[in-house]
Amino acid sequence: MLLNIKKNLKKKNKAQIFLICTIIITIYMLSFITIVYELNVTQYSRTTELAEFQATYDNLKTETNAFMKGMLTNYSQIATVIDSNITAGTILQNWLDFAESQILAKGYFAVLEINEIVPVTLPIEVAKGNGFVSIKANIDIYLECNYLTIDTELQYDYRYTIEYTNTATATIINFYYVTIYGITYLGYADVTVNTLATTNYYNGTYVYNVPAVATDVIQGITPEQIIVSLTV
Amino acid sequence: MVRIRRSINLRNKKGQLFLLEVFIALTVLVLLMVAIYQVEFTSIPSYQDDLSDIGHNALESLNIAGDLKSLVFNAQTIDLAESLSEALPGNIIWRLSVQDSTGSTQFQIYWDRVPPVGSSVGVTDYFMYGDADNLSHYRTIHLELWRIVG
Repeated sequence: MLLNIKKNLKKKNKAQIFLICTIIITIYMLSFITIVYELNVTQYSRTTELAEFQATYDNLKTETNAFMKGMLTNYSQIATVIDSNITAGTILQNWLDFAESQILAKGYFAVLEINEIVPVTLPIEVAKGNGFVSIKANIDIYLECNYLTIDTELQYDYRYTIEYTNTATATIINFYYVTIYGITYLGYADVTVNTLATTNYYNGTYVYNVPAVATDVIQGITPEQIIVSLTV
Repeated sequence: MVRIRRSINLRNKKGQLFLLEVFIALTVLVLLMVAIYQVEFTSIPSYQDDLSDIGHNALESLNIAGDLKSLVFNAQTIDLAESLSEALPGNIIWRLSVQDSTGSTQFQIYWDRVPPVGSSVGVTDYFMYGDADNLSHYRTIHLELWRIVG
């Protein structure tokens, strides 16, 4: 009799333990499923937002690179709107303000500003002279979305140069630009001497079949219409 | 007699416990299936949402090729429509609107096209400046894309 009661109690306890274990396992499984689900949703949002954020940064970089060359083109021409370094700085900052407003409108945090070469007096530097035209600027970029921060600086230092060497029978002209990355020769430019065409060797070298003499004007125009002039 | 009653009670309890276990197991199974279904469901939009990426790439490639600025700033809508249609896959429908820096619309292309209800729409806003002679002229291209259904 006593043995039977003991056996029944044991069985009852076993059943209760089994029930509790089942409940614990169920809770554990549900938690696991919820975590997997949340991870998937987060991963999906993250991938989408990062792709769009990256596209926005690419847009900014492509257009700012082009803008710097555009400024140099404008500055190299006679009818330029850039009459000083301060004006150049204002024009660049206007572009950065517009780009910043566009990025903010997309829901990202953005701060774009010129890192001035000399505070207040020299925001960016434009210069031109006999045989060269150049632009120098640094732009601080801070962009932030939910999953990524881009904190960087774009540095621009372009110097377009045209040089010549006289041989006994001809003028050898070199047209190239220098950046912080090195020299790039301009093989597809339009180079003239006193408005007369030269022979293009498509590697940055142009040949005029008469040696240059004093007061001759050698002019190079890049495909972006950056003009560099040299008076012999 | 008492023994028989007790054994019947025990058997009933065992049966109830078994039923309870089955019920719990079934619940877990159903929840698991629901969860798996939901996880799969959330991963479906990933292919549709690359629409904005496709739009951005099309505009970026046109811009790098040097075609986009003149088409936009000279409002060459027919040529722009042709260039964009060539740059985008054939199964994508699009419409476009161009705004200046104040936000006022300069022109629109295919704006009468309306995405079907419930379809996933990709949106790309591409900003740009004019050219060397128009350094202070800015434009934003607002491009909307969706796929042909069916």
